[in-house]
Amino acid sequence: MKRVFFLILLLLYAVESFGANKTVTVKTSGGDYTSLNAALAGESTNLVTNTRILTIECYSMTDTVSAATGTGYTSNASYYIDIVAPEGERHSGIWDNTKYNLTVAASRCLYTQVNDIRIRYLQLKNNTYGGRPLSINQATGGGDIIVDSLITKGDEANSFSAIGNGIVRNCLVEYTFGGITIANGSGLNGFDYYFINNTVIYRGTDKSGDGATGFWGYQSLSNYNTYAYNNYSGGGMRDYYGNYAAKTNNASADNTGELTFVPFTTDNFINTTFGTEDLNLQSGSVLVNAGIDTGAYLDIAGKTRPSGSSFDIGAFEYDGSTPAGRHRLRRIIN
Amino acid sequence: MRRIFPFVALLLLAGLADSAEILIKLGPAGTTDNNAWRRFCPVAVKPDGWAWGTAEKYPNFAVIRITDMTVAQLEAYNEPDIDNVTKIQRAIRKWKIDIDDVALPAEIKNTITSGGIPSVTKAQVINFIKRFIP
Repeated sequence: MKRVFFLILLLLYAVESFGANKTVTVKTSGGDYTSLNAALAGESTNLVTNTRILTIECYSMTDTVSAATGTGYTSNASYYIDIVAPEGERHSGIWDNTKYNLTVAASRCLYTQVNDIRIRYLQLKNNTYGGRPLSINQATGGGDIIVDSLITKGDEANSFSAIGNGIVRNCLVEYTFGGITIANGSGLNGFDYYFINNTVIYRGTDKSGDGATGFWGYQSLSNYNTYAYNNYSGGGMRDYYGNYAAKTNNASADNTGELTFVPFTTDNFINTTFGTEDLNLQSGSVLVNAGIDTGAYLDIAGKTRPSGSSFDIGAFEYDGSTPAGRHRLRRIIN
Repeated sequence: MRRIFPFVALLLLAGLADSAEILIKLGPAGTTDNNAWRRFCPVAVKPDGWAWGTAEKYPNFAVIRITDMTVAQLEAYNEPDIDNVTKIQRAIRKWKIDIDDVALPAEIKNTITSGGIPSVTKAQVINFIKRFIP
């Protein structure tokens, strides 16, 4: 009897250790961890051997510890890290100090060096000159990156030193030097990166040099492809720069988009004042119904796309009830 | 007595304000990759009395309270090692806190291994804070 009991215990331990996805929480109190960084440092790193999706749920708090995955994680398309603010804990597309925000003064808010990772519904703010909110460096080649519905504020760009596939969608980005930039990290080829429905805003005053670039694409002759669809980029020295395999239905305040000279003003957005911005689309904006179907059927606030006759440009879908307070009220009622 | 009390209270408050706690990764020695999380890496710095998470404890982590360092001062030991010129990260941390060092006082080590938080001064641990890449 004792032997059977022992074997059952061993089996239960094995099931817990291998073959089960794992969810851990980051909370100010009562959670597994009190910072995202500790969660990334504390968990088992071989997700493939453990056949495990590691979900790190970030609950409402201000996290002040710069976070990094390190290079130790082994992942693939099935077993990856998913860093997410869970439903009910997410921002509404407007910066919200009461929701999870990673606010630091460091070289990076979040630095990932794992091949396969999803980062969703977080708010990242870097208060350092030259600091990046998000830096993604795929470690060894291959892999899939999904960055969805982030709000990022910082000086340097959210950078993707990419040697795999990636999707960056529904993100609000405020920058002074770079918005979203991509570079081929190792010369490996055959990968695709998609920038879809992002709103990228320049917030600085000095556009000199190579700075103040909203999107910086990368395109090699060896089938390393960057695609950009339905994005808005406004106010930079160059709203779009670099090379793209395909680039359509993007709007810019300068002449680098396909929909050109769309100003970052309240003609197009609800509130453009730094600090209290609401980048929901304004009624009558030229960005409404100006996009194409890219397969992104939810916007940053969880509203369904498309709402009108076609998809909108930028992170928000206009549904005729623009003021964000009304969206929040509707969600509360629901 | 009444005159002394505010001074004592002030001293106590000043003492609390100068304390900070540091979370240190433990677990097996594992990888030798300098850019992976490894044993003895500092992970987070918080004020004294921080309510650490249920997973932020021995044997995966150690917490040490440094009674004469502020959070800002202790943060200097919780930074990545980034090359000043190339801006490339050489190691995930510049420093490590070697609690396996044989010279570490037994009472500090025993407190850690029993799941407690030792309160120490900077002088008591400074010799065990070493460069991550020697």
